[in-house]
Amino acid sequence: MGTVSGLDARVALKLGTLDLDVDVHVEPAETVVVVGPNGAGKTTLLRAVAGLAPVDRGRIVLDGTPIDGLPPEQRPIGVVFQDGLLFPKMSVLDNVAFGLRARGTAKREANARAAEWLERVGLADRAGARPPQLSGGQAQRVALARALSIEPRILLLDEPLAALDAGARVEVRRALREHLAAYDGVRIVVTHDPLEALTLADRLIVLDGGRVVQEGSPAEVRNRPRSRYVAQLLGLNLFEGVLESNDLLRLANGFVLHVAVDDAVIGPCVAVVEPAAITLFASVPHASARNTWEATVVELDHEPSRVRVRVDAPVPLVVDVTPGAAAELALEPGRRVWCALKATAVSVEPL
Amino acid sequence: MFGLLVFFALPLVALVVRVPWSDITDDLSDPAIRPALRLSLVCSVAATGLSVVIGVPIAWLLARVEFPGKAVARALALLPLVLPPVVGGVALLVAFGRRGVVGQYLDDWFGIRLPFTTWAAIIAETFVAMPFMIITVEGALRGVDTRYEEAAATLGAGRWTVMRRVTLPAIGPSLLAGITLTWARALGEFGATITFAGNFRGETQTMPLAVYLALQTDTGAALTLSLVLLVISIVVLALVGRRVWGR
Repeated sequence: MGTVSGLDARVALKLGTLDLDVDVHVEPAETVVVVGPNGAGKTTLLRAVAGLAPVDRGRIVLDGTPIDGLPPEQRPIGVVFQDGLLFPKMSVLDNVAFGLRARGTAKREANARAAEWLERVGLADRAGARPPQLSGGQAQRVALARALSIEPRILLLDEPLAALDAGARVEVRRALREHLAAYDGVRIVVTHDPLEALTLADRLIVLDGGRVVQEGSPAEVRNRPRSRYVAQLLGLNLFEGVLESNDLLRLANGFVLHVAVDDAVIGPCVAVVEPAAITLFASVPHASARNTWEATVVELDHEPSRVRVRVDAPVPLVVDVTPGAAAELALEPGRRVWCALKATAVSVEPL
Repeated sequence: MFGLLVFFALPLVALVVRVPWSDITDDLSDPAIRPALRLSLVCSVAATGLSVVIGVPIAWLLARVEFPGKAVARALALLPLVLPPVVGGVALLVAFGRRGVVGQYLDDWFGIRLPFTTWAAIIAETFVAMPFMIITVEGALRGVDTRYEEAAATLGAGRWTVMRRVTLPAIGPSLLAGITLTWARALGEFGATITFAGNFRGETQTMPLAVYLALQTDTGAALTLSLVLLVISIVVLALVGRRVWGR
């Protein structure tokens, strides 16, 4: 039996009304994003891996070595908490140097390495500041630097964007993408943010009621949602591309999406379109919508209040229509339809 | 509000008014004052130190650890607040006196005799004043957001490092308040001290005991001694109070 690399976490525990029983494997350099409704046990799973929540039964093994017998301070982990939890009475530099100091690194060297980490997250000039003087986005970048400074082999991120406003989200999401790409350990991210889930994840795990109800690549989970929660959370149309002007987004395959943004952030962006924002027509639409495409219906998914339609336009799309409209358009797989999308219904987020 | 201030201030004003200001240089050069003052400061500071060393861990236990009989333990820790200090002194004497429950063994095995020594004065003051430390620090610990301690643990900090670098700084102002209250209570301690430690000049005679003794023979000297104690207390409380409770 060879040594299994990566993290193997079989965790069973009861906490209040939560009955958590999951078995999760994460490869090195893999980002697993855990999504699920409130109370599903996402954060508790992270806390169990970190050693902060006692496990009733189970086994947590990292690269073949069990770590579940160790207290949190002896586990090779780095945690980024939802609201940062920077120590308020310490300078930013001391916060980042804290882990190294606690692990016995001499003060001078710890400070030098902390300064390097601050440089890497672009906050070298705030080294002397106190956490309350930082913006939300800056604080979360410091928290990321603090977690990475100890070179953990498991990086745990508990809703790292949840407490931030929209602008700071973009800032921190960008920092996360950059630093997760450069980090070769195991990463687990808990989130409620669909964009974060779809853009960070190598693999998605859906938790509900303390059990893993679905697992797979973001595309698989998005295309075959096994619960209404997932369908609603991830059932978005996402287009990665380059914003060329404030009304034009060019996708990787050359396809052009008309958009309307006030402050054009020229450069790499992701466009998000709600499935209900796209309208289907039986023939060429005479509508004001900037975007119209001819498409083929691939699949229909009937729910009581709506029909989710997958179509193959120049890019695959998910469209929600009412059951009445679906009947009127005689939707069925293979049927040719026209899609219309108003440029103003596309929301664009810089990456 | 004003009436309340008058109620508290009036006795102090009366004390200042009645101090025999004409004899003050004589009274202040009384040979009893210097040793009493020195002893008061030494004992109250030592008692405060002991209260930090013993009281903070007790407060931590009460705030953070669940154990059977916790309510009784807390009641015991706070008992000296309601017990008349003389009773505390008697209890200490019965425990640590030369024929006391523990004291006889201290004497037989180690040759340690506590009663009527400076150590006795320190112990008496600690016994009476430590509840102020416990009650203040326990309350502060309950108010601390333990997630910061968890964050510190995930960064590799053991229990002691977490305590020193995260928990104590977080309760800093309350700790300082506890230290101030404990010190103030220790400085004014009388009943337990005179019962357990006696009233020996240079050994156990702190300022309150000196005031009591002077009152039997020379009211003027007693007033002057009281004034000295009053001035010291006000200066310290005002200085520390600004840091603890703001302006």
